[in-house]
Amino acid sequence: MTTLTRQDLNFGQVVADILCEFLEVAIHLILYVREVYPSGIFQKRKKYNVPVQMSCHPELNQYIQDTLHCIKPLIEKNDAEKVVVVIMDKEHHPVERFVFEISQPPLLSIRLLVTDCCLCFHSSDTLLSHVEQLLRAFILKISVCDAVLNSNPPGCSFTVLVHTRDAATRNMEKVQVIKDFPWIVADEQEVHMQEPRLIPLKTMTSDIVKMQLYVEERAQKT
Amino acid sequence: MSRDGWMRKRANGGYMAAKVSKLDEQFRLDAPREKQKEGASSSIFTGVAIYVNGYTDPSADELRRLMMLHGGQFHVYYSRSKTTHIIATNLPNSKIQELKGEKVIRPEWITDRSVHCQVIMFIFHILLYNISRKPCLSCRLFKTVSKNRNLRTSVDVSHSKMNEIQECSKEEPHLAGASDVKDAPLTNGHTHIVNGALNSEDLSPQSSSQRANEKRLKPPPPTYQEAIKATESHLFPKQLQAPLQVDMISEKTLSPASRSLSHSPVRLNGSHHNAFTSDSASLSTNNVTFKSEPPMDDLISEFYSHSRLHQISTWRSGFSEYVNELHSKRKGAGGASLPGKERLRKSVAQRSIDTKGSSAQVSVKSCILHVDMDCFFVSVGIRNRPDLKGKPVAVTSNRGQGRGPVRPGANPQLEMEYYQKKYTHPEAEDEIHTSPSQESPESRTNGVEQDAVALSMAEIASCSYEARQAGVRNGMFFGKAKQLCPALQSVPYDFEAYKEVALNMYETLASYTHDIEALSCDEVLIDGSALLAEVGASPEDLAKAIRADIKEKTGCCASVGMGSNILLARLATRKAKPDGQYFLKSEEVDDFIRDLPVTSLPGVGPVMGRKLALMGVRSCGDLQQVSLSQLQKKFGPRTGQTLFRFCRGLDDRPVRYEKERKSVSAEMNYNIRFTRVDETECFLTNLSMEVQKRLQEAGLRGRRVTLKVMVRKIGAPLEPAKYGGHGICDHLAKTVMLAQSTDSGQLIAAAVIKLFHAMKVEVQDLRGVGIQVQLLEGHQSATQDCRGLRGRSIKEMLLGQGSSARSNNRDVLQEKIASSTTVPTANSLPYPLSPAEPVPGTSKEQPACRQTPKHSRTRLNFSIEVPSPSQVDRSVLEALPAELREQVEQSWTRRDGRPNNCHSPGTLVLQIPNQPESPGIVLELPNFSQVDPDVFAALPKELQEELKAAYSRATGQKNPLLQLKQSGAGIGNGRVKRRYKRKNAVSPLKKGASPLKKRPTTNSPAKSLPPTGKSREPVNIRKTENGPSTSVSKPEVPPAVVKLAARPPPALAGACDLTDIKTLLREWVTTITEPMEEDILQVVKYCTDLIEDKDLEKLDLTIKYMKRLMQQSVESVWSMAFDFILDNVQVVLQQTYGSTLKIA
Repeated sequence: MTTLTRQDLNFGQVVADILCEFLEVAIHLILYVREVYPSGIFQKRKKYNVPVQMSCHPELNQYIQDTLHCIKPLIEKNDAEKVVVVIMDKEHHPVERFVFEISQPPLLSIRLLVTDCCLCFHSSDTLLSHVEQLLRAFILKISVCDAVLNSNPPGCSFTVLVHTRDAATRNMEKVQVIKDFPWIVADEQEVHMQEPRLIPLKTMTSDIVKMQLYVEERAQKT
Repeated sequence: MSRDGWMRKRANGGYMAAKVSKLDEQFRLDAPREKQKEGASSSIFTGVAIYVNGYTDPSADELRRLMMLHGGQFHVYYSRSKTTHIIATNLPNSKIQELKGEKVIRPEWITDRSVHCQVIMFIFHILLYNISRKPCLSCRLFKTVSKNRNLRTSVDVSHSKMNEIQECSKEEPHLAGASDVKDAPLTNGHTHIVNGALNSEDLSPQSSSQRANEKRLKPPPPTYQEAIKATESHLFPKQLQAPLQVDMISEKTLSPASRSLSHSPVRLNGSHHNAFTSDSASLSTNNVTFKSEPPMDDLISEFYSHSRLHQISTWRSGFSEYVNELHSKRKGAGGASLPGKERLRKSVAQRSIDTKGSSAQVSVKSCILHVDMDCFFVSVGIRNRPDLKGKPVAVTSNRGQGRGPVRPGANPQLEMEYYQKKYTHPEAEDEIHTSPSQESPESRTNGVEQDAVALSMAEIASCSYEARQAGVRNGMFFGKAKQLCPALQSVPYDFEAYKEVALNMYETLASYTHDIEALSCDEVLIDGSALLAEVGASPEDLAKAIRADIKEKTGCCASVGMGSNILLARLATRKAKPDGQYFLKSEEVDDFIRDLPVTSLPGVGPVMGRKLALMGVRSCGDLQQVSLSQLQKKFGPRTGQTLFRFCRGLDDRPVRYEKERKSVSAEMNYNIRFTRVDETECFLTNLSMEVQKRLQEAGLRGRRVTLKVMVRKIGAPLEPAKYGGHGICDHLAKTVMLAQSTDSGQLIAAAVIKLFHAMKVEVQDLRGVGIQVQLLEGHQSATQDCRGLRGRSIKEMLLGQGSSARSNNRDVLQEKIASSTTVPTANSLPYPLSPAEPVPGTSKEQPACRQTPKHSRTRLNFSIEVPSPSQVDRSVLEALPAELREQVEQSWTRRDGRPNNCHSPGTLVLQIPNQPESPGIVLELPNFSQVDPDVFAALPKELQEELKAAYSRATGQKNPLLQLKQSGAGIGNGRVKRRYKRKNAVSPLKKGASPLKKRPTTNSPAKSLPPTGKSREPVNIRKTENGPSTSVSKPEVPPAVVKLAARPPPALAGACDLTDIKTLLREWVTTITEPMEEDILQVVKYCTDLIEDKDLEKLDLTIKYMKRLMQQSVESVWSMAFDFILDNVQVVLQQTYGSTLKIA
């Protein structure tokens, strides 16, 4: 049966690839929109058929890439519940959190496999293009989120947190994807936000992944 | 349905015969009066009995008058044997067939003859009906024409058309003369058609006419063409040939029906099938094919013009007009002379001289006089009959006592039928003894009450005070009244006299002052303040003078009540009666009113009286103890207020000589029997036309149309005791708002027919139909027209009924033509009618302007940060109310100046496909063997079917991977069950009255499932997830795979799409003033479901939408409701996300 030969094609991996690609763009854009870094380091690029701002600072880019590289296995296994881009003030207290809440339908892989085998790649293509459209909506939403958010105090930094499901961390300890780039448990200080306000930005529901983005904002930013 | 059939089914015995004979008698009685009035009379129509069919110009009334004047007969009901001519201007095909062989003439025949006061020619105006459209029909008509021609003359075919015609006409007189001679001595025969008394004299005219008929029967001529030509040339240039106008001959072709004129009186009485005026059934059949034909639909107006009680009720507006007229006259001529006032002034002066300065006449601030004639109909009825004075007398259609001889045995049939069951009482003897006169032609009847005659269920329109003492009341059935008061004498209606007396009264009053408000034909309010101040008289003096004046001029007594306001004046009248006056001084008011029963207050009828009695309130004193808020709570703000004031004797209504009309309506609840829906629709159309007529007469247009129907109460007998009456009924009403004000009957009819269908009543059970138009606004031109039409003297209005009716008719016709031309434009409006009722879920039809108060604009700018255009889902944008959408768009243009590089000009709003076609849904299903049959059975039917279909499709696609899911089957099934329960838990929202609950119940779980497999992440995924250890080997096969379908998305009352949700919420907020707790909780549940479903975006949009809706709502309860919802949502959010929603 064809399905057997295709079993190795891990759709979790496909989803993870898609999401990580997206997250990279999203993080860059967030950093730009929230003015964490001076706008001079950003360049306009075209992603998902819309213009986005991407950093051209090599170290920043590297950091983001490494982070996502580490996140990818978690997404593959559907262990990452949330990927959070936290913007912190000088005292390292979070002022804003961009939360990407990811959940993958459990039937995903099977369905895609069989979809492939039964209905050839055509449907898969439409599926992916649909996902791309949904992700584009996210990008657009991020690019205008400054409208709904209060401006951040100067001197902000950022970090990326991953909320994992259950005992995923245990496994993570064993496999270090990148050397000298380990996951650490976030400080309570970095996680806890005073009087958080929730601003939903976008929700998408597709066959392969369901994701929503919302911003948690500290009531008093300064 | 043929009229004949209808009447036969009724098996109404001799009723029709009695009615016809009565009408004839009435006609005969009216004739001398009419002649006297007119002065000139002749007998040119002797022997002619006409029957008017449909619309004519002049009207049927006018024709009737002419027939009276000139010795003819007028039949309200068509009788083949007695009616010699049918007058019509326009006839439908079916009728022409029915009347085949009858003499159908145009009304001009009558008028011409009467105008010239000479017998012109006995040739008939033939009715030419629409040659082009009904060729066969006209052929038939022409056939008869040519027959005649052939019969009478040997006209040369080569003659010119005109010559032919003239020849034709010349020939006619011979015959005319002949038949006239024959008919002349037998005229009486037409009037005495009462069965039992039919004698040889009665028979002879019929036989003679039969003879005439036979004589005329000749073979038809060979050429029809000429006849057609002749007719054409004739009918159209008719006016040119004044005296010779009449040319065409319609001939009796001795149809089987007319041949079978057996002249048996019994049969005749029983078989007057052609009930005409008030026979709504026939009326609608006639109109099935000719809906918009003006001549057809004046059957209803004919009903109204024949109903004399109706006319009386319309007098009021006539008198109001009269008062108006007086005012405008006074304006025009400066100070008009008020003889009454002068007299009063003199008498006051006289008296002040007499009494030498004892002018105790207090300066009354304001004084309203309520003048009411004492039992008006009775006093008018007996004013020339001193023998009845002081005796119990009732005015009723029942019996014409003292008018002509009693004719015993006139209608034994009826007596048998009705009195045997009606009067088993000992007194019945007396009743039966005198009752024959009931059916005698002497008794006068009218359109409304004619039925009652037979049953002795005639209502008493008015009874004297002597009769009232015996317990007789107005509105009582005569039979019952007779039981109560055996000495009761009945007096027939005398409409002419009523007019005369009422007119006299108004003239008398108008000689004092013009501050008059006409309440009815016998009831007037006078604002005497100015008059009294000017003359220096006391109210008592004025009242005395008025009463004396009225008594002198009309011979009837009037009572006058006086008070400082309308209410008090009216109450005082009660005390003043009979034949007295009473001035309710302001210091006496409290004592006076305290003991009055509440039902004596105007506006408090039996129903409200009962309600008040339940509250323990019987007298006005009791009512004074009830607080205003309590009254308003119980009876509504306005009625409550009124009650509160009235029971304290307070009334601030002014005396208005001009009253604004609040509504225009037409109603019929007599003789309404339909069998088919189309009949009903026709009837509604006709009634709408009547409404149109009235609207146009009043120069008004209305927006709100109400259809009121009376439906036979379930369990009530099919036929009510009162013949043609409505019996026990349920009253239903439905209202629709038109897109714009209208006076077009067509639009009203369309609306009303829609409403009627929405009512879903059985047409057979309809007993009454009424159309009311409210929210009136005048339209200038029509008002002026109307003034022009009506702005004559009241005399003309009352006495010149015929002529005014004629002009009215003409007017209506013209207006109809006009309206028919304007109708297309009205129809071309996008929404000629707004939907009859709010249809939940059809948001697009709702006018968007409904919920956009102005302040939403400002609030929007504060609360909602408008995303960039590229960011906005177009569908969401489109779902916004137009105004909001505009604002959003404006904010974009405003923003354009702002540096914002997030979107390039090339980016367009995304059109994301709603639901990706994912054909793989089938494979989400577990193996069929795994399906728990119990669970399957528990599923709703639709879901079961869907599943079955899915399985049948899936056969052959068995995936080995599916086998892996077995372990999870239990969990999956459990979930299915749970979901099903959840769905059921939602369902209470669907029942009940609020819009949230009004959602159609079609949203079974199966439907709310995304059909294309748009799968949703289950909330409790963590529970089913077994951790990373298992997922390493088979990460793609988690154990919980056996879900039949994805968990349904959260839904509010079945709606899960944002647009639907918004519609639902909008309906909820805009239609309901006070939200029910249950509904609020339902919304909260939906919001928490959204949180669970991780669809914060939707939650956010919903919350924001609700915020906008509810906080801008007038009712503060909505703000509170929103706060409650928000609080709950925030709590759940706090628990789930540790943060709360930012609501700007």
